[in-house]
Parts: sequence; structure tokens; C-alpha cells
Amino acid sequence: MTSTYQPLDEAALQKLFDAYYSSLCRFASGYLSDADAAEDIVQQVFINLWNHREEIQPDKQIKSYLFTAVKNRCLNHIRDHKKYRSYYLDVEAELEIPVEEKDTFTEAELENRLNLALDNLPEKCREIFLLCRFEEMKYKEVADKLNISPKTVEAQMSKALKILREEFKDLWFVVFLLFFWQ
Amino acid sequence: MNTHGNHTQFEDLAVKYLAGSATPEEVEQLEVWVKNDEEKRRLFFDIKRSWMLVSSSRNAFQKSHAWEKIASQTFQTESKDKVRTLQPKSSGSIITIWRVAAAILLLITGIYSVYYFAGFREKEWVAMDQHQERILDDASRVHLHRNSTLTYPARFRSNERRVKLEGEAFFEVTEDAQKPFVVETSNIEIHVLGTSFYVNTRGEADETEVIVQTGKVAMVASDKVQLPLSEGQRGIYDHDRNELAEARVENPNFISWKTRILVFEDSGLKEVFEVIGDTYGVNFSLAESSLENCRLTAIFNDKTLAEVLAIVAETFSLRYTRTQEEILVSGEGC
Repeated sequence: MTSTYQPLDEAALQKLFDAYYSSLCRFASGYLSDADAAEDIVQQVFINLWNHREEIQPDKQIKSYLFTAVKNRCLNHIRDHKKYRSYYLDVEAELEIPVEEKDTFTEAELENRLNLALDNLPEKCREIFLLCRFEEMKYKEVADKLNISPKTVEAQMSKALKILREEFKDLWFVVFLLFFWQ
Repeated sequence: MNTHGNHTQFEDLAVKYLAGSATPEEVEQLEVWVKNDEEKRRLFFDIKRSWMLVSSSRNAFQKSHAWEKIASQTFQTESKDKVRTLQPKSSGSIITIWRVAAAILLLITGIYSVYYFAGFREKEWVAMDQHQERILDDASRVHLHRNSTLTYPARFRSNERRVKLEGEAFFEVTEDAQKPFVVETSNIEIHVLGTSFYVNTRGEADETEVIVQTGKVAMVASDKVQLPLSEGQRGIYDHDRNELAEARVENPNFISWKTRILVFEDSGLKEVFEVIGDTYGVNFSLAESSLENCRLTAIFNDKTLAEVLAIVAETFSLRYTRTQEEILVSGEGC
């Protein structure tokens, strides 16, 4: 049987990029605490896809190829930077958690919910959380910057996660669906 | 009360871990807790899920910037090469195209520079047991050898592109005359405009060596001690004497760890297995000294370790024995 598919061209690559770049980055930054590294990885996967476009058949579920490739590279990255990371905590143990299914949200709805939850954090708590989560600052750096003790940072971060967890109770499975749904 | 306190302590640690602030001892402690306590495991993943989920709230990924970078690494390079080979000298229309491209780029740069200021913090990239490849902010590509470290900023500053290297790397630097690319080693600097070259900061006798594949670079030890190098040339810095000298490229396999192309020309087996070991990250030792007399002439182009070993074994009737740390090579010799 001869297949008639066209190998990936420029327009097709851009289409894939537009459709999946952001979700792939989110997916990767779920694994890695370094958002830049997450973006690097996703970009590499697209470049690699292009370099191997002759071998990859478009009908062979490119979406799952992209997510798998990003995941593998994230795992490699974790392995190579294992100084202060635990492979078990980052990767292995995750598989032991069963997945339940519920109604799903659109991406925009989800984003709204998440932003709202962040806005609702107490002011001090939010400030510290944003620095740690999105600026990737260490507790010590945040403490120095805000002129408070690292213990305070620790307590505020714990508090932030407690509130967010409560807010996200019904939400976490959605991430899973957004990432893996094909 | 006690359990409650324990719980809080666990949560503090879990969050601290996710935020990348836990010490190695704390990581170990957390791992033990999560592994052995079902309730703690659920709690940890609950926290982790929220941590992951919240990344979705910030659509901070710089999509256009990323697309530029991907484009420049994929079809744009290809079409550029095509234009070059088809019309090596005529240039009128190409210049126009480049002018337009430059104007568009400037515009995009203007828009996105708003986001840049946040990204100057330096990153340390360590390639441990396997060589790695990364593309920097300026689309330059770096291949980092095993056990090497490159420190670089997420976004380069406006006047220069400066990185620090400890170990071995191969650089493919994009051209930008306004913004020289500088590789800093513990002793010297290598100044580059746009080219590809290899650097090794731990050569024999601890020298720093540079081999240029295309274009030009300058090795700079101080204002007075500089050495320009061009295509195919190799420069060595002698730490003790603070001297730079040009030298012959003696080892054709200096970047085989990246290319997996091995070239042997009447090479002794000792050297052959050193090169194979370096390329594939394995240690070899020769069981009998008579093996050192065997000389190999061969080219291996992107073969697997098993394929290479099989061919060498066939040539000299060798046997391999795998021990914990190394592969022992034995045979009658030559």
C-alpha cells in the first residue's frame, strides 16, 4: 500500500506550533521548576520534528509524539540535573496515582479559574508565591529580597499551597485531560 | 497535636522541594516519607498537582520569540543554504530580502524587548554522563561534552554574548557583528563573530585548546597576548608560561563525541579504544600489551558502539569482557 501523505512543510510546522506550543510548555514546566529549560526543551522537540520529518508520518498521531518527546526530554533533564532533585518524587511515583475522570473545562475557563485563585491569595502570600513559582527564586533569595526570614518564606509558601489546593480540588484532573487528551 | 505538627512540617518540606529550595538531606527525608507513607504520598501529589496546575495560569511563554528561534533552526537555514548554492554571487534581490527581514526582525525585537529585562539571570548547564545540545537565546548552538559545564544567561545582554565554559564544547555561533560572542575559560577568553569551533579547557598538561571549524576566532589571554585563528587552525594556551601558540590538528576525532564520526589512520589500538571510549562514554583496557602493536585504518560514520566494536574485533580477532567499570579487550595481538 502506498501512502499519499505529504511530508511536514513549513505551514504544517507552524500549525502544530500554534496548536501545541503553549500546552507543551506548560506540560514541561509541570515537570521542571525551570521555565526556561522547559521552553528550550519544547523548542528542541519542534526542531527535531522538522529534522526527522521524512521519518515521521503525520497520520501517526503527532500530538502524542510531541507530548511523549517532551516528556522524555524532561526526564532526561531531571536525570542530568539531579543535584537537588529526586527522580522518584519528580517522575516515578506519579504513575501510582489513579486518574479519575470528570467534566472538562476549556483552556480559557481553566486559565480564568487559576488566575482568580492567585488573585485571591493574601497579598504577602501572593507576592512570595509568585517570586518562588514564576521567578524561580530560592527561599533564601526571596527572603533577602523582601528582608524577611527564610522561615517566613517557608510558612507563607506552605500557606499559599494550602489555599491553592483547596481552590483546585475539583480541577487537577483537567490538567491531565488537557495534556493527554488526543 | 503531634500529628498535626508533623503534617505541617511535611507540607512545608514538600512545598520547599517543589520550589527547588530543599537541601539534599531534606530531599532524601521527603523521599523516604513519600515512599513509605500512603497518606503522605497522596498529600505530596495533591500539593504537586496544584504546583503544576498553577503554571497554566501564566501564559508567559514567549511564543513569537520561540517561533523565530525554531524557524531559524529549521526551514530558514535550509532555504538560506539553497539560495547560496543556487546563486553564489548575484546578490541584488537577496539583499532586498535581507533588508526586509532585518526590518521585520527589528520590529519584533522592539516589541519583545519589553519582556527581556527579566531574563539576565545566569544558568548553569551541566552535562553529566552524556553529551547534550542546547540552543542559546541568540540561536547559537552549543554541544556540551560529558562532565562539562556551561554558564550562560537566559537572555544575552545588549553589547555582548558571554558564556563561561569548564570542560569541552563545540560551538556553532550565529553571526552578529554588533554583539561579539565571548567564551570565558578560567584563563583566557575566546572572541568570536560568527563561526563554529571547539574548545577544551582540560587538554593535556592542563592547557586550553581551541580548534576552528569555520570562520575566525581570537584567543585572548591578555591585551598583549592574543592569537587569531581561522578555519582548520588549532591554538593552545600554555597556562604556566601564559603563552598562546598555534599547533597542528593532530587528532581528527576531537569532536567525535558529537558527530560519532571516527577516523583512524594507521592508529594504534590503545588510541583507537581511547577514542571509542570517549565517543561512547565507556572505559576500555587492553589485557595484553602485544595488542598495542595492532594498527587500524578505518572510518566509522555514526555507528553504534556495538557495530564499531564488532568491526574492530573482526579485524584483529579480539574478545571483549565486560566488568563493572570497564570493558576488557583481549586477543593475541599483532
